[in-house]
Amino acid sequence: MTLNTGSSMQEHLRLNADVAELERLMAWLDDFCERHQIPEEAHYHLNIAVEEIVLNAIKHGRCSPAQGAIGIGLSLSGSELDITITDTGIPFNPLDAPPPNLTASLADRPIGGLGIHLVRSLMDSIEYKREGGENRLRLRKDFAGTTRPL
Amino acid sequence: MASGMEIIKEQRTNEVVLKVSGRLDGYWANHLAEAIHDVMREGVHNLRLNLAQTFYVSSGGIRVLVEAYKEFVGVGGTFAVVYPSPGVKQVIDLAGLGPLLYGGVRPEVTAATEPTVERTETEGAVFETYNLEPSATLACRASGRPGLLPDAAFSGRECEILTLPKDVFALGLGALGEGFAACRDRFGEFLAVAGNAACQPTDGTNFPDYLVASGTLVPKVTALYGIACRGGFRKLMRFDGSPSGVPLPFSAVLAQARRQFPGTCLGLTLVTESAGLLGASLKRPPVAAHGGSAQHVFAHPEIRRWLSFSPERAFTRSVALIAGVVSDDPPPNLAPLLRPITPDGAIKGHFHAAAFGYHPLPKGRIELLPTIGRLFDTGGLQGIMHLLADDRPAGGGGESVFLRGACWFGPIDRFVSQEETL
Repeated sequence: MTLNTGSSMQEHLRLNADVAELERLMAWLDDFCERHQIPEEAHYHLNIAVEEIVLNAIKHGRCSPAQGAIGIGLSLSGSELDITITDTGIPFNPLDAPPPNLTASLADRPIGGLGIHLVRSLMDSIEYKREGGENRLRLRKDFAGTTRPL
Repeated sequence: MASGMEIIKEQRTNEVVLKVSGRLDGYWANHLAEAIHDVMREGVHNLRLNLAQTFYVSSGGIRVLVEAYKEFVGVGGTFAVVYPSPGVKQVIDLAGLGPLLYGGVRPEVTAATEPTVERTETEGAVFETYNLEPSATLACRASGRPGLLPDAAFSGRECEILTLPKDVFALGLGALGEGFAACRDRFGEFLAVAGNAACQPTDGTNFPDYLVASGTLVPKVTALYGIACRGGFRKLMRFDGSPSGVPLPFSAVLAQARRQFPGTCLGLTLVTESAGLLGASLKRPPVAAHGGSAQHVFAHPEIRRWLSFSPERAFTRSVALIAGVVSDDPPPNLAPLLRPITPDGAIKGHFHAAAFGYHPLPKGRIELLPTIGRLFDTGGLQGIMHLLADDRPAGGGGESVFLRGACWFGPIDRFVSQEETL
């Protein structure tokens, strides 16, 4: 679905809480980025951030029913991407997760927490709300200046 | 960006290179993990992942890289990511894993340089034998009345509680717990090695149960009958069938061990990368209250109610802990517990196996206690069975087969009666 709201374009996708949906999600993100000529690096960062959040909701959110449990909204205003991800899973604020210890030895280092660390590192801002029985995360990324190809 | 993943394997002299093209995301990461495990099962100890054509990696992909690094280093091998694409490198660097995954830190290799006492190559398989304690011996005690099994006629009179400390290995029919009343609905195959006891319950749950020695806690099994050995092993033999590409039959491993101590009763404990176990386990407790006595457990069609047995080998991708004894000339109280355990009937013994989730074994001289402790700590116990040999000419599964493994073994020089303790 596409809504034209003046200078920004809002598009939405609804997914089942099923890891097999990742392929459809990535194809949708790729299509969005190609149509809007998003620079390759920002496109890459967007894919990683959205996958991390969505996969976390699929694997740990206990969304019931799984059908249509996850929603993604993308809007573009100038060079700023505004991403909203909602899920009907158990309340979970990923911003509460402590930052991973990146200097610990590999044997002692838990892998959990790495996903949200990547999202924090690749996005400009993240906000969390629990609203209407849903987890709602809003990510922003200004890609002005990120034109170099990866 | 295209989806999917392609993996091309390249064999080099001392290492394998996997060239990975496509996306290493939370969905395709499992595909790579399986490919890495397949390489491990071939006995490869040095792996390079060429990620030049991998244009995407998420934390799900990073997890697979970190786990592979830990597993290869854990067996004295090496693992490195080479030629990462800029996108992959950026994420690995953000995760703070560059110094390790790019091969900057070389793990110490210790095991492969140990001198071997004897190296034998037979029909493409390699056997390396290490001397352990030259004077170590085992004492053996057989208990119970195995003759009651065909009629499932065990009662509280035959059972006894076995205490299983770290210098004992034991196998038989029993259950974790103390006393006949507490265990009567669960009696099944058990195996205990190095202070770890595992039992296959027959109460319908099908979930194997285990207990690990900790502090002053020593596992106890209430046994209907059993064989227990106490003492030390004189030798460690490593075996590897991968040079020939054909899994090694159990009988080939036993034959090599018996060559070291001809004509002697042997006690053995093995940890193997299994290519398939042939065995059976009880489905119901063989006690009178569960319909015993009236019908013969091993008669058709009753056997189907009593025994879980598949003519196909089970646990084809697992690590198997096996313990038991072989003897050509057993004393009277041990003899009823021994059966032909090779398809040609040439070797008589009694072995139980516990299967765990697959992980590769380190090469060279390894220690019994930590190797087995690690199985119980991390391996995921899958099941316990009594090992069999199938000599039927058509359709028979033959015997258990292994990719490679370790066998601790030594002579049994003392048999104690049921009235004595080990």
